[in-house]
Amino acid sequence: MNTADLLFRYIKEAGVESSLGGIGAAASITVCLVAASTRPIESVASSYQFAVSSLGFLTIATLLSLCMMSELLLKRQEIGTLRALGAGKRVVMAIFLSKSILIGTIGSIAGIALGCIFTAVTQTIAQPYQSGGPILRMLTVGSAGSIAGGLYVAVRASRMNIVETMRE
Amino acid sequence: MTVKSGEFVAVTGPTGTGKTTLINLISGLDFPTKGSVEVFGKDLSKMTEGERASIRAKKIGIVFQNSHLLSKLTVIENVELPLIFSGSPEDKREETAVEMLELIGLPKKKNLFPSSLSAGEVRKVAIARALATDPALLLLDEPTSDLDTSTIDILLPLLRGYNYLHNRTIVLATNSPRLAKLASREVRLRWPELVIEAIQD
Repeated sequence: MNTADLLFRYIKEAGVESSLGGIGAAASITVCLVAASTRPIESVASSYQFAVSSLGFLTIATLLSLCMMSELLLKRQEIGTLRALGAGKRVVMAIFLSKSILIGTIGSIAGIALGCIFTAVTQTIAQPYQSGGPILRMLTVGSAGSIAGGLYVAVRASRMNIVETMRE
Repeated sequence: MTVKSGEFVAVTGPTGTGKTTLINLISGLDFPTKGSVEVFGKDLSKMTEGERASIRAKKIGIVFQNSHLLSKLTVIENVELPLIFSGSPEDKREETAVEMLELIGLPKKKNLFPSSLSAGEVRKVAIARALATDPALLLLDEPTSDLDTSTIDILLPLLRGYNYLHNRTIVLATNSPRLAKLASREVRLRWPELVIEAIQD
């Protein structure tokens, strides 16, 4: 079973399969908790890491999607103008995707930094990271989440009706 | 309706007769429910979106009814925009944009943002932006609506010269009889019959 199947099953069990909007913070927490608790005991550590990564991915993707959607609504007319001046769909997509990735990556770096500080301060209950592996994984999850969140909005932006947006 | 290469056509008619729609159809921003629009010998509806965007970037200059300058960009950056999309070399973009601003008399305002310009100046920058790529077809939608008489006096020879000296095609949507007289042909739109009358000069 791949990650997508696993996520879909847990989302279905959580009763939100009929709504894409269910892929928010609540659903991701449910997914991660169930994923962590239903794995065999010997792989609890890896399941936990998977759950945390999934939670991070879904949260970043959801928040970035909302953030970029508000950006899209604010800049509809400007996007229409760019398209009317000869910018192709790919240009508009690249604008939104690059911005989403930039925000997601900066957010991930800031989150990792804060997380390292937090674990260093509370090392009586958790050990600070000794290798770059988890940090690299979190950065990858953050970037992947930002691509996923930005992609939908980027496609929508590139498909907007130029004349309608310029009339507003 | 056919517009020949190098022709200067004024499209006139009362508000709501479809002058802006006609400009949008020619530029490939909108599509007809009936009939077809051919630009540079190609049916726009049979082109891909990328091909239409490429034609707009390289061969068509548009002055929109509301100018539509990007508020977060400076005057010169606004003029440089179509040069970016047309693939103009990076080192020549600023030079070309400055030339265009000199042409319309606003070289000193190149680093200002559109919010600090008057309505007439905004319209002039929109015209400079449309001319920046030296388009084969220039579409103007009510270009003098925000301009005072003295500015129009500067604009008229500019448009006529662009058409006559550079042999560029111009389609101008306007309600101004003075501006329409500038064209070599006037096309009047009438509603509801949508009859197109062509009057040869």
